[in-house]
Amino acid sequence: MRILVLFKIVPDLDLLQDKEWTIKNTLPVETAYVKKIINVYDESALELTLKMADHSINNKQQIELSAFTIGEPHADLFLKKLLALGFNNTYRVQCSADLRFNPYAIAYIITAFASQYGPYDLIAMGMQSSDGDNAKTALLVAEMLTWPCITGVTGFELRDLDLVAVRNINDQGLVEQLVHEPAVLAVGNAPCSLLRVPTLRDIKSAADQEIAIISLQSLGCDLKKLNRQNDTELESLNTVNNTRAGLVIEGTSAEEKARLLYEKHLKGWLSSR
Amino acid sequence: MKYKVIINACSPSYKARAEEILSFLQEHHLTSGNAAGYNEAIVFYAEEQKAEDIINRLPFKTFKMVRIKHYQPEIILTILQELEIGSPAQIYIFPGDSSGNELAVRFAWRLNGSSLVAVEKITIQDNALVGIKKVYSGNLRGAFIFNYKPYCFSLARGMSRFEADIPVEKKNYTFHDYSSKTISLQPHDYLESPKEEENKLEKSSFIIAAGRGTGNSMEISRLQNIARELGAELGVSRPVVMNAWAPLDQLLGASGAVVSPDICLTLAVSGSPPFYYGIEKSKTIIAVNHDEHAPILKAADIVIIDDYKKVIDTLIKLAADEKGA
Ligand SMILES: Cc1cc2nc3c(=O)[nH]c(=O)nc-3n(C[C@H](O)[C@H](O)[C@H](O)COP(=O)(O)OP(=O)(O)OC[C@H]3O[C@@H](n4cnc5c(N)ncnc54)[C@H](O)[C@@H]3O)c2cc1C
Ligand SMILES: Nc1ncnc2c1ncn2[C@@H]1O[C@H](COP(=O)(O)O)[C@@H](O)[C@H]1O
Repeated sequence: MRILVLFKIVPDLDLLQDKEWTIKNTLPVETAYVKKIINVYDESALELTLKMADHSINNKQQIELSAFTIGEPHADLFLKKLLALGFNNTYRVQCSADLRFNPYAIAYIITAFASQYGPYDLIAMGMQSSDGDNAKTALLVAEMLTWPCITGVTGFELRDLDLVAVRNINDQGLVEQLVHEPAVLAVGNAPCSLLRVPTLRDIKSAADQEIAIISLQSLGCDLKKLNRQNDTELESLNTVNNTRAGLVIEGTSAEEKARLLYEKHLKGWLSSR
Repeated sequence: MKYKVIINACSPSYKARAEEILSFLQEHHLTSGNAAGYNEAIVFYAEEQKAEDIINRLPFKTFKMVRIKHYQPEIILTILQELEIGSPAQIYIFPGDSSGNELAVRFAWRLNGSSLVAVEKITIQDNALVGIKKVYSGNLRGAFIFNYKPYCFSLARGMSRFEADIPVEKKNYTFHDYSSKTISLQPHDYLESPKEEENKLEKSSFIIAAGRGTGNSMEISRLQNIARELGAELGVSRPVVMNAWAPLDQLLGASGAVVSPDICLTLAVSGSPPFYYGIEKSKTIIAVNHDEHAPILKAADIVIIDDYKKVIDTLIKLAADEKGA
């Protein structure tokens, strides 16, 4: 079984302070100096795939894991780590264009890659990226490949050669279903899916494994055309203001502050309910 | 512009989602001209015995009741295509939930249109539609132009609601049975069916929100009990769920529940935008955090800068004394 995991390297937006957003009110937002991380849902997709592979070793099923990203060379550090963690192949499509708000282009490139380097049986990815916030790519990949798509995935495991048990959360609640490949799994908030850390031995043994760098051209992708065909276009950006009164309750101890909070703001309300 | 609304009544929260759409339509002056067959809703439902209840509760006048076997996006998309391909509307509005997002994007793709997910507002500029939504994890708002018709979008989660009680006799609806419809892509065999419940957090008037700073699962279960004693529901931030200290249905935020209680008391939460999204509709936000630079402090109405444990322990004691008195 061949599994492709898609991930994106993003700035860790939790590290940015309010004021940095108010002054950067330009298009596009400059985040080059912010620490990079794997997009949170993609991190879960990578870890859930490794977990699935762990289990299938016992079942002696053949699994080939590939990791794929579109972006700049700073992603290679992460791809190296994935090789150390047991991914058989890692690919990066070299692209320095800003495609944050062009999920159509991203999906198109992914599909072009999957048809040239595939066939894959399963594509696991994140349901949303933290900077683009598009929440569209996984759905577009499924549509372009005419594959089914399961969203909000929280876990999956192999049941048989072409059968995957997938847990996901949708508007009806938590669901478990058997999915015949091929399928796109769009991973959401999946508990216990922080990406594992490779051991020194893993890192050493993966040291001479190569990352395949692919050009857009070789996939038959023309950026100008992909930008023109994007179905929506970002026109302007504005800051979000969440400021409220921020009335600080002062006191000499936590207990005193709590008492003041209770007396002034909670007691009456609690008893009137 | 001619528009249609799509409702997934397989979801137990369909009424709330429909009320959000109704409020959105009103804010955008889209409710006039609600003539039969023109601006209509297409309602997907699975269980025959629920049809009457859905018809009664839906806040719409003109709609199609489309019966399917069970919620499966691929089937809904195929049916929608069959129903709409001849004379599509210019705008399709989908609810602010996961099925809404999914159907909006995939339906637009199938009709060569454009899609946007989690839209808060729309405007019409030079005959083109512009949708406004949060980007950069909720740190900014972006305005997006839709390039191709039909324009399909889902609403942002937890928008304001308008409750309308429309008498059944004023409702104009037709039935369409697609329950035996199958498609060649048949990925789903359900092993475990979902429980049919609305999220408790959405209805609560008092929410205690626990963040990563609470530290471990034992502390979260202690806070579950404290919340119960105070008559509150416990919500949590993403790290709490990711560490499996609390179940997923207690998650608050852009990817969890969006709530609007009278009081939301946050404990050891930093207040990042994706979390804040879930609580920003609270009437009063009280935040306890020991870091005076935590962003939540500016975004709250009342704050205590101190150890949350000491604060909550004192609060529960005072409330117990009050009860005993
Ligand atoms: C695409 C995307 C979607 C996301 N969706 C969501 C979502 O829906 N919901 C969500 O919650 N997050 C979401 N996140 C994650 C979000 O960005 C933050 O990482 C998260 O909300 C942080 O949670 P926290 O405040 O509990 O933890 P932290 O940011 O680690 O904050 C912990 C806080 O506790 C305080 N603290 C520690 N100990 C104490 C103590 N003893 N007393 C008082 N204060 C103390 C600290 O000062 C700190 O401010 C999303 C992220 C992305 C990228
Ligand atoms: N540059 C990229 N390279 C690889 N995968 C990506 C890229 N951008 C987005 N994705 C995938 O698409 C998902 C959804 O992104 P988005 O539609 O932008 O919110 C992400 O979680 C990733 O799995």
